[in-house]
Amino acid sequence: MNIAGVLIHAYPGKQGAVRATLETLAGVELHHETPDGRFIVTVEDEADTSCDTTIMQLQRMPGIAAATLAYHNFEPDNSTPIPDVRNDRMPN
Amino acid sequence: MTTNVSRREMLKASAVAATASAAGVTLAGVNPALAQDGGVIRWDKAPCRFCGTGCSVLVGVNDGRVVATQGDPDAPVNRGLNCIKGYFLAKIMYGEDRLTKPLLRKKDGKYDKNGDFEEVSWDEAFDIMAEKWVAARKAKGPKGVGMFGSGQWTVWEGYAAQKLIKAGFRSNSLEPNARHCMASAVGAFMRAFGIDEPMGCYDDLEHADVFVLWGANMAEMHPILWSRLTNTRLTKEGSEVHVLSTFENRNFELADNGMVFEPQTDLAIANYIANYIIQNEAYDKDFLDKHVNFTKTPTDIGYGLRADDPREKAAANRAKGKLSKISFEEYAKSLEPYTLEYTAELTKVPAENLKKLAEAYADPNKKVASFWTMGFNQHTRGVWVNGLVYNIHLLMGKIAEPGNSPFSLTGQPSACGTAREVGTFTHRLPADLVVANDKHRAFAEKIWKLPEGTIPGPKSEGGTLIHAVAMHRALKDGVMNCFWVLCNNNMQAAANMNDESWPGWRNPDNFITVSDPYPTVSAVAADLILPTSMWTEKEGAYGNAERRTQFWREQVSGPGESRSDLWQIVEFSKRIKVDDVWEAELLDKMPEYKGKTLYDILYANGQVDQFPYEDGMVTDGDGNAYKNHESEDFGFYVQKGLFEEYRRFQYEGPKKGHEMADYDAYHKARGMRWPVIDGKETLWRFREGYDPHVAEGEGVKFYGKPDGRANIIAAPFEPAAEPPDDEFDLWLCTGRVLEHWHSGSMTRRVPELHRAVPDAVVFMNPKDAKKRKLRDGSTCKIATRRGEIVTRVETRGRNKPPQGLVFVPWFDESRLVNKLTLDQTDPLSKETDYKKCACKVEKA
Repeated sequence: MNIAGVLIHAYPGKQGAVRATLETLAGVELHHETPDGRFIVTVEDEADTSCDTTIMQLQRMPGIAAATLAYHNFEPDNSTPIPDVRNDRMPN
Repeated sequence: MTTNVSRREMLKASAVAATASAAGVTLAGVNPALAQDGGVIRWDKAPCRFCGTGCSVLVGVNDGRVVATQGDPDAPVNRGLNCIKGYFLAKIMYGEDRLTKPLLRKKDGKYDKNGDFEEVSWDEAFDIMAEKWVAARKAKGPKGVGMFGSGQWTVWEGYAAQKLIKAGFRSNSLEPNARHCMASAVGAFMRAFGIDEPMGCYDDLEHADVFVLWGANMAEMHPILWSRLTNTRLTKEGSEVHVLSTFENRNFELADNGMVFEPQTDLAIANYIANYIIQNEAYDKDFLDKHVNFTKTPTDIGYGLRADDPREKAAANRAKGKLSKISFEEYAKSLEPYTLEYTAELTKVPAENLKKLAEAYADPNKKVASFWTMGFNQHTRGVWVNGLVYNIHLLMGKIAEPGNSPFSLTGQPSACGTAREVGTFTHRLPADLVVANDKHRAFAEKIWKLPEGTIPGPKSEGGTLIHAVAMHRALKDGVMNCFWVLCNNNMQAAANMNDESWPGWRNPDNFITVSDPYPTVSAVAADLILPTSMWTEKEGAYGNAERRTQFWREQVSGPGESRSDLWQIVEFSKRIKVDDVWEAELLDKMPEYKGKTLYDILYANGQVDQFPYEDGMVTDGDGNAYKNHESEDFGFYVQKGLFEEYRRFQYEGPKKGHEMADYDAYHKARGMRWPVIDGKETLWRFREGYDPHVAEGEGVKFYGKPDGRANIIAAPFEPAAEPPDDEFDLWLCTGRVLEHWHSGSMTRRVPELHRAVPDAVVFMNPKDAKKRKLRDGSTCKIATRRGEIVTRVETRGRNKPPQGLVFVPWFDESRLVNKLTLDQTDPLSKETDYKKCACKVEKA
């Protein structure tokens, strides 16, 4: 399970376009927007797109000056036991 | 997904709260306190493992594993934010191929350089290593052994290594990989100010009106600093951003004045600005009269290549750097050739852009912050070009105060804290002392309780100074036979792999040890691999680019038999008898040391081992107890002992200005910027009211220099070592991308980052591609005089080179771009120029 909190800065004049993009992205929820072009969003896993992929996409979207993370929880799903073999890859 | 819905909602609320808090926004109904998680996760601070920004991260541990991270809301550097690499930070420890046991090349049960790697015990690993090191030290003297460390080492790892090599093995063959990234910055600081590291701090990101990026792709390499800069640019009226680079990168999206210049001509641009300031009499005469000396540096100094290279033979003043005093008038005259017309023609930057930049620096009402990184430092005239920007700031008096800030950024988390401050370079000792100075060596010997003459002076046997690039040459030439590489990936990182690095490491006479968490290119090119515990698997300290020292506790255990570099260095010293590595005459000066090990002399010396350790004594503010594997093994609080001995260099040594707080204070603070006097950090150095070393009434004092004055240093434009010609018709520039950190040894193990940018491509101008019958996505061959690699063409990516230049990132171990690069260095700083050599690109 992945849940991330992301702060996004839009370039001047691009606030509307960035808002429109964020509203259509699966797994992205817009929680707050400031008058000076900053957005507070959460990003979660979706059936087709992982949280990680969405965050990587945000980095590269036109109109976005910076997408920085404030919070990331990637604890394993409660139904799965936490593996104690150290070499296992971190579960998604 | 069966995750409990209410928990998901709670975590989401935590995510919103943390983000709002980082943005300084209050949301109705959202608790701005630290993210809540139901109390199952233990949170503790740690500085990020990657770049030199020094963001603090809260690391969440559950059941012995890191399960969450968040930007530390109490951290002044990143204020609750993380960049994309920070987001995946915890995953770097859990790559599938993490090394858990020492591996030695063996055949028929014995060490064999041509054998295959087999698992061995730590005892067997250190036995063979000690045998080889003692033999090499005896046969070849102090030059026979060498260590190559890291700007990613913790402070005490660097300090322990410094003692082992310079005092224990009595050799100056110690270098950090920071030689490849920061040496030019250090050289320029020492020449201009007599003391290392920036006078300003990150607060300048909010105080400045004008930002100038000189060869620093901050948007991709220092994203958190970039988000602070972006915030200022978008919210502060009248602020402006100037970006200089040899190709268009992501910074240009925010630039008010973007400039793509011909490689190497940054020297001319800086001189043009200084000329503009003088011609327009915009300089601060009072500041210059009181605080500045005018000097010039020898010219035509070569390119740091091997001595038999024709370019070295042709140099009139090879590697010379001694400054001579000149007058203001002579300095002004030296700048006269750098007119706007000449500079525009040479640099290919439109005249109006150059003028706009000069006007910004020359405006007395604008505060200017200049930032640079590898574009300046990895430069065959790196020390010069760093200095030319100090010249501009000094001419205007725009220095050492909020917002007026020439600022050299760093690429590694402790290039400053460990490599530079502890001085893990061949020529340095802790706290800006140098081995060339008799008094400095004597002082170090006194602190370390060693007989006089232990640390080799440059004129004594073994005193030879040997820099990073020369180490690979010495391995190839068989001068050095044992080489221990820790916490870096120098086979991938060093230039000219085909002609120098590979033949050096695989020379049958040589025994190469690599300590790393992963089987990197360097590890598999070695003879012995030691598995390393990394980052929060050990107690550590880093120092970032703004002089901030930050500590962390051991939060989880390393996997298998992995051990930290600190443990490895100290434990190895137990295997070396002093009688085997010190000459009898030296031992006669302290006969009580006879028969002892280097461990007894260097670490169990009554100082490093003075703080007792017992399990459970390392705790955080909430009373959680943490392990400390090294101290448990050695039986004393080893990190604290090393740090407190190191601090004596800062307080009792001949150079003031490096003072740090005591060990325990750092475990409580979110870092402090040195000098720390009476528990108070220093934000701007050299200025009264901010820096406690500047007395009342002094105003500004550059106290690193005996007369308190900084040097303006005249230096001209000189061409690069290997410009394009008819056959090799393009400039090759190498560098980094957002998703990967340096050689990719950690970030390529994070599946998401690897998927995002799996391979290094060649960024190329579409017209250059078309001329070569290549299209976006075509497979191509890049060749230089030293080798070739095959990769894919990218003409529409984030980097847009002008015609005549291509850019290739170096993170990709399947496309080793350092097979192509030239081992040219700045003759003064000995730092490699990875940004400029000639190549050709053709269809593969």
